[in-house]
Amino acid sequence: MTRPLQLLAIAGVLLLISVISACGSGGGAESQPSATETPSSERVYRQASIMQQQADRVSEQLDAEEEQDGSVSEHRDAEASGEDAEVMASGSIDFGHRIGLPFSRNVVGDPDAPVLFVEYSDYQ
Amino acid sequence: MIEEAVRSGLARYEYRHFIVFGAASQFAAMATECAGDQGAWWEFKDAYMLEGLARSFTRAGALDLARAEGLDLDRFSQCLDDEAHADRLLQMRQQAIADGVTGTPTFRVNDRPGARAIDALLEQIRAAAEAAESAGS
Repeated sequence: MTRPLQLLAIAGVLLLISVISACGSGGGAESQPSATETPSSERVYRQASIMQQQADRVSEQLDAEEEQDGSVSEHRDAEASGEDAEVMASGSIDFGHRIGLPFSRNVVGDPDAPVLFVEYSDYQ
Repeated sequence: MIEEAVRSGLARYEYRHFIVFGAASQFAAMATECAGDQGAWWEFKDAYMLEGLARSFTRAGALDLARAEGLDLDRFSQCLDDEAHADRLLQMRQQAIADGVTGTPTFRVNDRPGARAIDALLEQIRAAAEAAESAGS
């Protein structure tokens, strides 16, 4: 490719990038607001973000404490020993409510069961 | 296997939202809670989690699900508009952070960190059940 053609190609790419960039930051999001992005949601996310930072700090602190006293949780053992093949998938009690188990909202099983098994998860 | 522990009466299972993937996940969690107001919490959770209905992470998708489950759509929509369960979701997140949760999935067995490997997790459940029995006897 000759030099003028190379320059023309570069200019074209830069123009394309600037157009895409302008579309991404422009009216698209404003003209079609998401149903979930209300001020209340944003407030929750801001709080969640702050709390995530707190969680990260707690995690770092726990790591430091574990290192100090030598006690490592089984959770971390599993990760460290490469047991990923055995890792549980999310949604371990799927459809439990449809096969006759007592349930209420986000809890399924005998209310008097001696063990409470909690799963923290995200759908995605 | 965990389901067996629940079926046998050894354990009960509680699902808690811990949002890590942003607005779409937050919306789906809210939709699930709104569905829960009409007795369809698990149906929504299963739809989102199991069936991978990506389109359901939108309002239109959630309304489709609500329609399919025979929910009162006006009530469901109002709940979404009001973000009626924002506090509940926030409380779950606060509890998660207090529990040291930093990612998903994270398990807890009788308020203690749960293992991730199934065998170790089941062993924890059995041990917790035995400990509870001993404490009760």
